[in-house]
Amino acid sequence: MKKYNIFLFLSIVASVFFISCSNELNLQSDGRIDITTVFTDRYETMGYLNSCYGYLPGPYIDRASYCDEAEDCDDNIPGARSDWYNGTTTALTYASDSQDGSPWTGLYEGIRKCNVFLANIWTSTAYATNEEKEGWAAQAHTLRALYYLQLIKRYGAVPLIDKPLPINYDYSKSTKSKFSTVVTFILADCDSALTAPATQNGFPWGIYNNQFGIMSRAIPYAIKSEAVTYAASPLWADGTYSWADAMAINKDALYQCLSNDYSLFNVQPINHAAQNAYALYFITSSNDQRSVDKETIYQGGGQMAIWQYAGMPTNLGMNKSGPNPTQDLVDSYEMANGQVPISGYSDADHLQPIINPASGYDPNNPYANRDPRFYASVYYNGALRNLNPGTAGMQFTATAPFYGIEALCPDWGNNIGNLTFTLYKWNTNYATSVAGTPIGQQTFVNFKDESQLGLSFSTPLPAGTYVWELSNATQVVGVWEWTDGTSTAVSYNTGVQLTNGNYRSQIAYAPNNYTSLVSGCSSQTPVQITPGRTVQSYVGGADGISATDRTHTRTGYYVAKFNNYQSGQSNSADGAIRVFRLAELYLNFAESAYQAGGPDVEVSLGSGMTMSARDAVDAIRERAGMPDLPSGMSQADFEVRYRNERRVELAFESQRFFDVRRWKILSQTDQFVTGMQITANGSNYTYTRFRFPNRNDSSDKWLLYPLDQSEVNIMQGYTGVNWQNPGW
Amino acid sequence: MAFLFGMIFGTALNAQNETPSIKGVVHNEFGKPLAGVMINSEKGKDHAFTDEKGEYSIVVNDGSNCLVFSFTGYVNKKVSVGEINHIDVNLKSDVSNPDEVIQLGYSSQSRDELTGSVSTVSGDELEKSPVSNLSMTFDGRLPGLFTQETSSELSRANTNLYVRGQAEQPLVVIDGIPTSYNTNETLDYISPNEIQSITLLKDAATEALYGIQGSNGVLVITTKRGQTGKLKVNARVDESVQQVTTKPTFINSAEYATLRNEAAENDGLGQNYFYSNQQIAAFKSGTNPTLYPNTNWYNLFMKPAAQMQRVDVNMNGGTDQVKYFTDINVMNQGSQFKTDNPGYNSNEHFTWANFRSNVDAKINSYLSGHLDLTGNVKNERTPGNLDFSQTIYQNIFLIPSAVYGPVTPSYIDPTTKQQTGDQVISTNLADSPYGMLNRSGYTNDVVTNIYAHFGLDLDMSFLTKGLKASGTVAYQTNTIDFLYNKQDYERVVRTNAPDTLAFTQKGGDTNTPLSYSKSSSYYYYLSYNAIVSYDRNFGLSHVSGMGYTYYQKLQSSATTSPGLIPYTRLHTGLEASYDYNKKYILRFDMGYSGSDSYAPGNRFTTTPAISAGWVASRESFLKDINWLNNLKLRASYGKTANDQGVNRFAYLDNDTWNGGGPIGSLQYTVNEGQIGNPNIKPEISTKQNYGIDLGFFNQLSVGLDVFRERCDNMLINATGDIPTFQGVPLSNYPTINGGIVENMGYDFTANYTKAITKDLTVFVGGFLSYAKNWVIYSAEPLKSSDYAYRKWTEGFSVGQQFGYLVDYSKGGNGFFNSQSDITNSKLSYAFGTPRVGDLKYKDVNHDGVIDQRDEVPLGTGSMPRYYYGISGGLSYKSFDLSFLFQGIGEYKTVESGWGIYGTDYDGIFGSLLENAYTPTRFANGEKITAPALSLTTTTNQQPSDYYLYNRAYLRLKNLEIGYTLPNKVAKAISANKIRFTLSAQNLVTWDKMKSNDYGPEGGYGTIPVYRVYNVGLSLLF
Repeated sequence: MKKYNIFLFLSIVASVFFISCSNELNLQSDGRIDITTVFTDRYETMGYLNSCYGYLPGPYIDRASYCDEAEDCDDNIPGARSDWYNGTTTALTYASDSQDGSPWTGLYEGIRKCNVFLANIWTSTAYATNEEKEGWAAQAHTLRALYYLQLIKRYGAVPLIDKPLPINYDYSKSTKSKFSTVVTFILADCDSALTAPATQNGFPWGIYNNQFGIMSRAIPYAIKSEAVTYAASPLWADGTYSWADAMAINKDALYQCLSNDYSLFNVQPINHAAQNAYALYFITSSNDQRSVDKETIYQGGGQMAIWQYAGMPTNLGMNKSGPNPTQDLVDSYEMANGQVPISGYSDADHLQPIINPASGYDPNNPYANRDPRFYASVYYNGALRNLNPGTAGMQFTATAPFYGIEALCPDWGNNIGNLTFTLYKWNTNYATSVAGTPIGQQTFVNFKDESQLGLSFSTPLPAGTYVWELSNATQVVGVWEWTDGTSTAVSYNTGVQLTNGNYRSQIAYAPNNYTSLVSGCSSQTPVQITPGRTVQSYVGGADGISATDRTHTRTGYYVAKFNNYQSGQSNSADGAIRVFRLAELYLNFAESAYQAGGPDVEVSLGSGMTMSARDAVDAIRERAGMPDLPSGMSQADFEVRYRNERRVELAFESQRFFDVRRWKILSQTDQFVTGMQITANGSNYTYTRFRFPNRNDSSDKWLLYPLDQSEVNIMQGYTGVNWQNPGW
Repeated sequence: MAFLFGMIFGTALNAQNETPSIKGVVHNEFGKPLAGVMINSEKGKDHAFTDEKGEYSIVVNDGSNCLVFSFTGYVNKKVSVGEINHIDVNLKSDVSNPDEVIQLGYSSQSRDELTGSVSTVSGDELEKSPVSNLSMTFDGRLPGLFTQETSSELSRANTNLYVRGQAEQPLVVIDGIPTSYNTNETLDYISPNEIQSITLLKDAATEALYGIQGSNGVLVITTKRGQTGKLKVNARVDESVQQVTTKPTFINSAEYATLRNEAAENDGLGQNYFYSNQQIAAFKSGTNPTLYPNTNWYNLFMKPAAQMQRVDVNMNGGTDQVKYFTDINVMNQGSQFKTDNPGYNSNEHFTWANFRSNVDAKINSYLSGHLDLTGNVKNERTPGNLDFSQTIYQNIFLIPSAVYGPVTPSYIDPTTKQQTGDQVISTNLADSPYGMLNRSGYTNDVVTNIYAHFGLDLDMSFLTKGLKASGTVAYQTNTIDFLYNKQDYERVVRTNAPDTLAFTQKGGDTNTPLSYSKSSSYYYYLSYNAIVSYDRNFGLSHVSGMGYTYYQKLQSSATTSPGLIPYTRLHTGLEASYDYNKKYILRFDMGYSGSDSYAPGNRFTTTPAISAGWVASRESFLKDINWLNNLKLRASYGKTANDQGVNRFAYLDNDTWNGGGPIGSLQYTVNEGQIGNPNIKPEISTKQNYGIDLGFFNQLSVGLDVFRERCDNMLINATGDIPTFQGVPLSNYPTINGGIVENMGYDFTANYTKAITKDLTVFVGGFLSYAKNWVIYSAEPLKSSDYAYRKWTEGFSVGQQFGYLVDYSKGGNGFFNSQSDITNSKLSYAFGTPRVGDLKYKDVNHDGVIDQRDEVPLGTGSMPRYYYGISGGLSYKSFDLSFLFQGIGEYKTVESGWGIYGTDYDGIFGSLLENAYTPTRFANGEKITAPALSLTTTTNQQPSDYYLYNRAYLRLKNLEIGYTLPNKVAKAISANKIRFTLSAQNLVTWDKMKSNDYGPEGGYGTIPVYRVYNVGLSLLF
């Protein structure tokens, strides 16, 4: 009996042990939330809306390499670029070869998020005013429209999903909706968004503090504009949207933006920050208050490091020269006088340009007097690398006629470069003085340490106020500054007045008898004058062309757009690509207006505002500093100028890639590209055009992205239909 | 615990022998004394072993009437004691080892009672391999276990273990405690010297008990324990030289320049695109090595060989009350890299030390206990980052020999009077190993691993005869402390001016001083195990049973959720067996196990198995056949399960809510993760095994096991049949138990041992294992009907590769030999335009387009089908010799990438590319071993049978020659035995690889398998 009691005891102990351990197997809370309760909480609801953002494929400079804008520096290295040029990209490798991978999956993830949000927001029991709910729903509608637009411009027909699908959804009935059907859906989504009140808590025009990147009221207009312009374009026109339909939507979009504080960026750069307003725009980040930049509708792109990934070998720490602008692109920039320099090519290889004699284009000096946007977009041989070279200047008063004036330069090492010493008459202020005519000027080549650089005159100059300036340094050189000078002279460093000292300078009131203009100094410091450097992309130059080295250009050019010349290892100051900006709305309107009516037909935008296609293009040109287009052009002539304008204005902004596709001109534009080989003979240059090998990326299959092969296989299994885009 | 220690030492000190002892000598058939024979009292409480002279002494005080003599390779002999106190015994050899005790983890069984399928190997056998990692010693020694060395870094090699084909990483049971976390590493904390035996459990009968951890096979490791008797000290010293078995062919700079030019010319870029003929001549002449270098990067950074030293000392002995086994093993591993930083030593250096102390104590007549303590300290120094060695090694091949290096010339700057230059040279595309070795600093890491094991055994025969209970607590804690002392360095690239040696800076890196930082990783587990067992004979019937409960809480080293949430497992199991006269054996096993990976309703899984054996040779009608000493049939059928490969908490949704997100004013963001599948279950494999064991003349044993396994609920993820446009990332889509996969094969073993004379014994043996798996269902979508193969997974082995067939029809050489060849073929390639000298693929579906639709299965999947080992040897007087051949068969894979294509980085040319296609070479009828070179991706860079490599090989894995010094020499230094060994690992490999750039394992840039030469000295006191 006792034995059995022990057995019983052992079994009880074992069961208790088992049961207590068994409970140990349940997961204690680790912070998971239940998705079904998200829409009962205000902050989780807002959190869900926030998670609908972030699925937009960011535009990036490298897309330029995938069309006729650029030849990539990696064209000889196995990988994405060379696969593309060789045509070895397949549906299986497209994702790794293309600029933005295969955004299909990511975009549909974003669409599902929006679907879930829109399916739940109106039944949500979370605390929110109706105005807030309308505003939130408007953001989700806009995002969904934005994502669908990205999908169709890449893939064409796609399945249209407007509600969340259950886990066990039956895909056998799924179909792809054609381009125009999706556009109709996009327009409807945008219109739904625009029904929300235009208030701060609803769906406002303004972007408020801490809202950078938010969907605002201008965005659905921009989405509509681009969607309908694409839908009316040759690749997609199926009768659903005519150019007149497109014009109606485009004019409304432009009108709404223009009447709600959107305008082309026209801030002139100060202190040589950029070449011109157009250049400044692309290195200025769009900000959440819209205080400076009123052109950007939606930035979308992240800040790029052009200097590093599309940079020049002379920039320390650069990685590669990235997309190198082609000669074809350079040729498309007009002359500053508004004339087309090159109207075509007399040979199939595009090596013999047909020069427009009226333009003043000089094939032996091809970069002079071009569209200001050229200087803002492309670094060419001889382009300024440093827009703001250093100068040292000093204003002084000669109390009597004088025979000489000098500045003292410190020891910077042996044989240190060149400097120019110039003397001006003082005129109102420093800037106007040095802009005047020099009284005397001398360039000192390889001057020695502790040199005194200056001018002497056999006939003395009269007493009066003068200013001397040291400029055009070819290396970092400089001048001594005395810290506690008490003289009445005033010194300037690169145009800025010094506060606690003056340059060491001396004046001779009698021949060769110099006295210091600055007195009473115990310590002196050297002040640097930074050199003004130019691009040397000629053969053998510091930025010289190379067929094999990825840090050097293939074509003879480098990207300047988005590049702040001050960017470098310790200063990342390059710009970002805008997904939507007002200029595109002008251009979209112009395209639909000339197609629907003609270039000069005045269209009423609303409340007394009228505009023709030509006016819209001219608005863009005016900001760039270009003369207006002539009136009375035929539709065909205008089309040539319009397409060129769009190519130039939107260069490197991920637009050209899609434009040549929707216009169905890919097979003409992308067969091959050309470059410019420049050889130096002393100070003269010889310009030789050359062409790259044919690219295999211009046949019709390249008009669309392929769907991922796995997706095609899966849908083939469900539907028996091959979903793949043609040719892939 | 203190109480227990007290008892152990108390009883040890008080140990006294009152009863007179029995003494004697044990010999074999030739009268040669046998050392190490175990002598047990019949009732099993008293033990002794014979010494080197075959002598033993035992005190029997448990009332037994008989002594049982047992020794591996011999039949047990039972001798009555009576009043005699001197018994000499002759043992009869039997290579079938019928009385060998097989360790099954929770229980043990004698070989002749076994119904399941197992393989065994002894620690002595593993000791023959002069390698540092335990898992590297398994190769060719355990039938049914395929080992694959995935990384061969010295002393840090990683070996994947596969039991009967695809099942990766068997459960490791060390002295009765399952170890399933970091098993590869845990195995390497054990040295062969500590191991008594290893058993591999391969079928349902042996695995079912382990429930959801059993299905991938179980490796049961039993460590050595103390033996009653005088203190025995065993010391062993090894000195090894390690060298790589393969090394990629060196392409000198002249040849490199020629090949690059050739590639560019093939691409239509003209002759001398990269290098002029004068430059190539300058490379060739070598007269101006500054401008035209020929840098052998391999020789710059790699020594011809590395060295390793090992010392092992173990002691064992004890009394009836306390027995102990202690072992200490110290290893010192040198590096194969060369470093030259004068400021600090960054070269690889590893020191490992491990110790083990296994103590058994008999507390009183019914209670005994054991305390095992194991520890490891590994001290490692690596250049730069941890695990940098592979990167350093591969980067050697990324920089061409035409690049000047490794650093810029140094000179005194005339202005600053500072030493300048000496910057690390790299290329635009690749970093130099020089910087990684000498300018990256180093990492020191110290691994401390403690494994403790405490158990009590209770003999409950006071309740009923044969009943026992035992309880064990096991604890492992592992800490790795990383001390980084790192720096960065400036990289420069030579400018493309050929006539000057000038450099430009590459990237933004600058020289930085060394700076310290620190991190650590930690894991532990705590296991409790309780076993009740029963074992009793009723006349000719033998009944035994066992039940266990096991609970484990594991804290992994993960630092993020959900991995950081402790893992818990709860297993129970039952085993019952019956045999009649050791002739008819029937056995039932069942596991009932669960883990927190599954939803409450599916948490526990039952895995039953039934097995039977029939020892026909014991039947009267076979008993008298002299030549047949063993004939046994075995069969098992049952279920095993596997809980690996499933996401943590796969049954739950994983949605979280955090601050932040893209739009600041919205304040929060919701992160949707995995969608739970509450029905997720462990994968269940139904396994069948049929075996036959044969023994002839006591000298030859032959065994054959045939198996078939089927998993009907294999985990499959959504990638198979869920389109991505539904919007949930496929990685978040619930995994389901939906796949079906089958696996079948056999293990054949044969062993022959014969003592020819008293002094000469020869043995030879081996095994051949075959395993083939195929996927029956994996929710694979059917491809359209124009595909040559509409399914690429279902119907094929796991890991089946697909690719193109090269068209050799009409006597072709597989290449397009002219432009008209290309035109006449009327083929268009979907992945580019073929050039002259490119591969001509077969248009399998006859649609004129070469694309995916033409791809056919290539190779054999991810596993070899055959693997085998052949061992043998002899001992003659003081000499002994053994060898082990090992190999794999039916294993072909498609190669790609470095050294194969020649386009990676600045051109990495394997030896086959030296004879790449050129029109000239073709016209001259010269040997062509590769398609035309290119600078970029070509149509050749597709998987095709051109790059199908046969990875089968045969390797002389191990060779050992030993010489034991005469006894009198040993006695001179008071030793019992002194033995010298010369051994080698991976001595010769015969393979069918297309080039010698790398061996049948690994690839062009992976650290190759090492060959080891070893001199050893072992001393027994």
